[in-house]
Amino acid sequence: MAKHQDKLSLWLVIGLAIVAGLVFWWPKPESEPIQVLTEASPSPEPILSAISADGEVILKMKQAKETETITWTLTANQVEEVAKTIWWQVLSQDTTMSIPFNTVSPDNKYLFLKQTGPDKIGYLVLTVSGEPIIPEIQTIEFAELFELEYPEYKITEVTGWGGIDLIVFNTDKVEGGIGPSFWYDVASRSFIRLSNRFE
Amino acid sequence: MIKKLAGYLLIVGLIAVGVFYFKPQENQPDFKLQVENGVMGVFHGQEVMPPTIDLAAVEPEINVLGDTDSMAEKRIYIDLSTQTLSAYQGDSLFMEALVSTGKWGRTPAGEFTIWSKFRATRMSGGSGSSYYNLPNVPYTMFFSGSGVAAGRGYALHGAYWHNNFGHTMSHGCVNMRTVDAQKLFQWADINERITIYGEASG
Repeated sequence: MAKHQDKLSLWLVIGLAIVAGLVFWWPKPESEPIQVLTEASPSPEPILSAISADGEVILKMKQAKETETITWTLTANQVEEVAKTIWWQVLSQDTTMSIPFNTVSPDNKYLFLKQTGPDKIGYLVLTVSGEPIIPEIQTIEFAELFELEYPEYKITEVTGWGGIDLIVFNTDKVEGGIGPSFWYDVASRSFIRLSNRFE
Repeated sequence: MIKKLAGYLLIVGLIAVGVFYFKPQENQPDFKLQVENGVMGVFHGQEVMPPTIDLAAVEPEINVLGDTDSMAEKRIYIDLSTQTLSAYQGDSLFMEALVSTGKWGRTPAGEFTIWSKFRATRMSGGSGSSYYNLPNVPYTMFFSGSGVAAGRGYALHGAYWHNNFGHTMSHGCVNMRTVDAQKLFQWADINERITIYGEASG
């Protein structure tokens, strides 16, 4: 009888240990996401110059004001090289351009810019070299493409690069509530819906 | 019967504590200087080319602004809730930077010290879609403390496979922009103290 009880208690302890182990190691659910500032920077103000994460590429945005328009010009250069104009655009005075903090892709091939207009925000992707991103196309405005493909969501924040050519962004549902995160895959020019949010 | 039960519980408890304390982090570094130029890395299913490491290259000198007492204690603070790192010497701020802490593994909070530094090393871990194997991880500073053994492999280091700083993005380490990691690496010594606090939001 005592032997039987010993065995029973041993199995009980093993069972408890397994349950405790499962509880301890089971992945914790994602915590409730919160809204964060659009510009991921110690200084959340939109910036007009930036450096790549490895310090190799320097970007500068200049603006030339005219009567009704502003000409925005972006230059890029490798350290100790002469700056080269890689993009320019004439925009109305109520539209501004800024360089997000995590702007340059990890391999320094692409970058993205934020365009803030009176009624919409756009995001442009272009190459650091100034070459067309695809033959005969200099830039891709992916916020508009996203709106066409996923009209039920709106972009709330573009956080940076989750991989070599993957731009990470968060969304809200148009009808209210928090939406999922997405990748914009620059290489394939497609959107990938993610199962968790990048807060 | 009760004595035996208590004995079994004690053994299971000791095993659980041992497993928890010595369990390797998902990140499994080699704890040595390892330069592998030209070798591709993998991060979450994507191939990535690591930076070339030149050990003979002269590192830029650190410019310390302001009145810094060179004898004052150096401290590094990492706020998980804002994903920021601040480094102080005495009361003087040496640097402030956005970082990426644990998303696929928890970054531990507490008091730590740097126990080793390597200009570059290899890190691998994760599984399935979150598998990574990354040579030439630059400016790596391993830390331990607050119940986290050195063998767990937690470190501050540069990250060349993403550029999403200010947002959780690691398997438990503290990822920094390479340019920031270099600056911290040159400034911080072995046994420098690190305080990690707050709670990451995602």
